[in-house]
Amino acid sequence: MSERETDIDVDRLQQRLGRVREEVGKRIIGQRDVLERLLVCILADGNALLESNPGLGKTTMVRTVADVTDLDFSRVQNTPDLMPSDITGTEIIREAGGERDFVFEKGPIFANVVLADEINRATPKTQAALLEAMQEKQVTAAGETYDLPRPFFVLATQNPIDQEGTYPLPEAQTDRFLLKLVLDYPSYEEERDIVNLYTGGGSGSAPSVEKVLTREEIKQIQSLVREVPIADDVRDRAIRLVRATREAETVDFGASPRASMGLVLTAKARAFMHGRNHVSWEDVAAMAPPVLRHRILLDFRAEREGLTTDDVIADLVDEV
Amino acid sequence: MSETTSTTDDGTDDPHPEERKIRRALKQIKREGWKVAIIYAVVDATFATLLVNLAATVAGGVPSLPARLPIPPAVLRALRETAGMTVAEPTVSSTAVVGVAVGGLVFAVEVAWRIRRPLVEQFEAANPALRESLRTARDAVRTDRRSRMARRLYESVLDDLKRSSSVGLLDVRRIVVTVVLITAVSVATIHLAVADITLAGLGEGPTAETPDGGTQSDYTGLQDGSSILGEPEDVPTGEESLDATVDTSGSGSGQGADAESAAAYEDSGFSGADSVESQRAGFTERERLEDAELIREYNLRIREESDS
Repeated sequence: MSERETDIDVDRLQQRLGRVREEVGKRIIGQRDVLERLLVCILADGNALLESNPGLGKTTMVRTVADVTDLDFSRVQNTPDLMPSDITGTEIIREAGGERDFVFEKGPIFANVVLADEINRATPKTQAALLEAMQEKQVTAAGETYDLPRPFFVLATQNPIDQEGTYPLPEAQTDRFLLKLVLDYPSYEEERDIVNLYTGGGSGSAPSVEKVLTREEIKQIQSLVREVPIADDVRDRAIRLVRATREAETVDFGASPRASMGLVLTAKARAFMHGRNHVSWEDVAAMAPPVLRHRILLDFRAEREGLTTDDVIADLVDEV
Repeated sequence: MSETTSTTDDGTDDPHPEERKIRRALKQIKREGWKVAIIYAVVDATFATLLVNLAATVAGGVPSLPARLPIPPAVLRALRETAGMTVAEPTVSSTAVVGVAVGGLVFAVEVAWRIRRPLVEQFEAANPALRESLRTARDAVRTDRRSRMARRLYESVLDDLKRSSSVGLLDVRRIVVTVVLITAVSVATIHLAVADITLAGLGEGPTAETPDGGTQSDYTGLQDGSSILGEPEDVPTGEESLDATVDTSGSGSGQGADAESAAAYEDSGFSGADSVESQRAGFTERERLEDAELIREYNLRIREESDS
């Protein structure tokens, strides 16, 4: 491929990403920041934890992203009685030609986009199986290792309310999610548009969307994202930001070096999505809250003062 | 991915033309930074030279230095050999020498101070729209990053550089203010040379001992009245009254006949016992001598008539 062709390719891919946002916008009203960060997570080849009250369109958003990107989609509704094999798959006996063979029946995790709904309702054992697959991008069953399809994303959701009977993810587990996205209630105008869109004429079902990005193109973009140059001072400042979470008085437990890598990588993805060829500090600052908010634990003094993790992160962004 | 190549100046294929262009652009930016530093330094050094020269002139010279310093023979010889110039008076004013020395010091310090901060960073500060992309490209070139995205970055930075300018490095207002100050100091220096402004008792030129014990100013330019006649002073009024009789008044004569006219006056017999030393009339023009003779004759006749 010549340089000229590569240029055209990059431009075309960046335009496709714009189309993806347009198509998703046909079904999802508002939540533009969350959608942008969800796409950033996909471009950075990461996994996202979506948190919101029920009914804010988490599942619809993830399903729509899968629809416009030509990716296989599967959904796992987590419950306390869900077993790891229900997710990863299990060996079953299959009769063929009078013979019985053990055959591995792939579970719902064998898809490009896996929506793990209400992950905090699964038992720690099931959570661990899911997160291990998420981290290793492979599943081991009956001594056999099976690679998961690529690209592979786990987009898990959890509700911040109704915590009774749930198993909150341990910090070590949440650290494996590249981003934690928080959906907020829509504005009045957005809610009115949502009501009109889904209760208006027609069948009342979700509007149709067009597939505008293939899985091969997603892989190309993921490769290009890692090549986006970042200035040394911007990179160093991002690292200082993560390190500052370990030293801040208001933070009891800071972010790991995995957060530094995630912050730089998501900043690159955001820069690529905005059509830039370099990372700016604006990208790092924008990606700091979703990268860090689930990786730090606030000190009791911060909680007493009513500070949230986003408040603390915003202060640290200003300080470094 | 196959990459296109271009030909370098020495005829070899360059696999990374954008990277080379970025390196060249960075060199160009550094050159622009040097130019700006030198412009500032030249203007400030000129101002310092003129200011020191003015101050030294007002103060009546540089303390502990003679008014004029000899030019080293090596310099004279170099001038004669290179430019064919022969200096009639092989000395130079000490104020000028001190002024030039201070100016040179200001120049050197200012250039060093201006380039202490990396010149490319100064350019980035003057062109904020370019700052992040240029810095990223600079770091990418330094670490030899040759990815597709890095190459695209180089191309976009080169395009942006074509639309940017290094004029932003120059604070035009500051330059203008300094030039105005230079003009003002120049005018003050010229005015001081013409009108001999004195400040707080200063301004008296250096004096040198003359052979007869007096002093002589080295200053050979125009001087005002007070410098020639001295400071005006009040003459005390005497209380003693003296009677003086003046029998006659002398006659004057023109220039060149002082001795003859004095002798003629003595011979005329008008100098009595209480004679006083004649004072010559201040006739300076020869054509008025006839009038003087005529007056003298009238006086003689009047006296003869009164004696008879």
